[in-house]
Amino acid sequence: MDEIALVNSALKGELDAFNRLVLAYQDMAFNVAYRILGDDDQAQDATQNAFLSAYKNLRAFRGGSFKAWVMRMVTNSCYDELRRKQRHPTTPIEPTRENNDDDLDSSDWLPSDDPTPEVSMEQAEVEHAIQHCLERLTPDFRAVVVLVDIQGMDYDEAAKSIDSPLGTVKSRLARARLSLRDCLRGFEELLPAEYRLEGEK
Amino acid sequence: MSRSLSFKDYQLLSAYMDGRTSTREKARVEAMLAADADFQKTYNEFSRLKRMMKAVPSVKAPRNFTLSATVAPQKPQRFLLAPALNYAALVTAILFVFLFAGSRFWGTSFAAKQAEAPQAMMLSASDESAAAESTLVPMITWGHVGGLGGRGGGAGGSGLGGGPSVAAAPDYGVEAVNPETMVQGTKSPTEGTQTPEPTGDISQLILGLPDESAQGKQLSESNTPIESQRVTVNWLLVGEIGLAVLAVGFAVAAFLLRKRH
Repeated sequence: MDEIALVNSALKGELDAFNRLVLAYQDMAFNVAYRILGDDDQAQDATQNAFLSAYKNLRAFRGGSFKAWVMRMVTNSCYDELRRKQRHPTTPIEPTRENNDDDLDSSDWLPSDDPTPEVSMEQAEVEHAIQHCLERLTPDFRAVVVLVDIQGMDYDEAAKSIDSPLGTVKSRLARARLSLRDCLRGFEELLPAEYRLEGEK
Repeated sequence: MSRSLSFKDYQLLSAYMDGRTSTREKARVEAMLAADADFQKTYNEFSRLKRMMKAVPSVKAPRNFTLSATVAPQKPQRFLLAPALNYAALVTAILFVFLFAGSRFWGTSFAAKQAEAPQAMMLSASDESAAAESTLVPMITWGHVGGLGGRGGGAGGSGLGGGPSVAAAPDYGVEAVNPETMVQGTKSPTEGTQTPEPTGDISQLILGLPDESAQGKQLSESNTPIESQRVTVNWLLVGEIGLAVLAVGFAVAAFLLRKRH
């Protein structure tokens, strides 16, 4: 996929060209938004707003990594969503993902591609613990650790995505990892042995 | 050997795990890993944490986020706001510089004029007072004109214009004193001064007094409003401050807009 050609076509008004870029990055964008916000609906809103903002401001894209540029839109959109959430805190009417484990209609009970239910349960535990600890980080630190450790971006792309220098990425990542390590120690007994931080000598 | 790790150590370790250290830093970390048990333990924890984060399942987007023609604008917008703000900041900054430089130039010449003005006013005032002194003006005399200034605040009159002559003054138990009969050695205030001829009309002697026909009547106060003190506003300074604030505001807005996109 030639991203630059698609961007140029989109600049001429070809929405289909832009939508091809959206399809290429929407999973990653939604993942980042979900890990930063910790809420499915908010993550959807943030992702949609990020792509709309990206299209409107496509002329501001000056080459380089389109992925990093789009992720910047996503992180900005997430910060907006967090600010909005702080101004107007809401209580969901529907049960949240955390407290509907006993609900038989929950998608958690549907057949999955995972090899065994045990593995699936372990992953769910780990995911829950990590998400809990991520939400305890400040949004700036959370964004860096999500981009680098979960999405596997390199430092340069992460720096462009959060519009900060490389040194800031290094420093925030180290602090975020320290906080996550301390937080996850509280889940030691709940996590499988291979994920326990103090298990390795 | 073991020691408490500093944040710099953690940062170094974190970068080492991601392969983002220089050759020198890498050698330092490896030496510390071999020598320091705490450092080794932290490294293991960080490595496990990184594996754990990588194992977090990827959440698939629940729907497509493609844009429809109704939602998206016809064409991506031209990024006009930031350049417009840049130009606005530039223009206001230039205006500010001109106004600032101009005010310094005009300010000095104006200040010089203002500094000269009080001196000229004082000179002209002293000339006028000298001229006034040279002309003969009616004076308030003491003693010769009966009743002048006497009975001030008395029941019979309003105090203005005094009462009748000494001879006609009612007896209040205080003996009227004639300066001519004063004990020798004391001096009358008018002694040695030129005294004008007394006239019958007091209003000719004391400035601002109404004529005799007005005696006993209540004098109305002047209705002329006192000119209020003007609060002078330095519009030049206000303009300078306004332009400076605008220029900074436009520049900050343009910077933030560019940073955001």
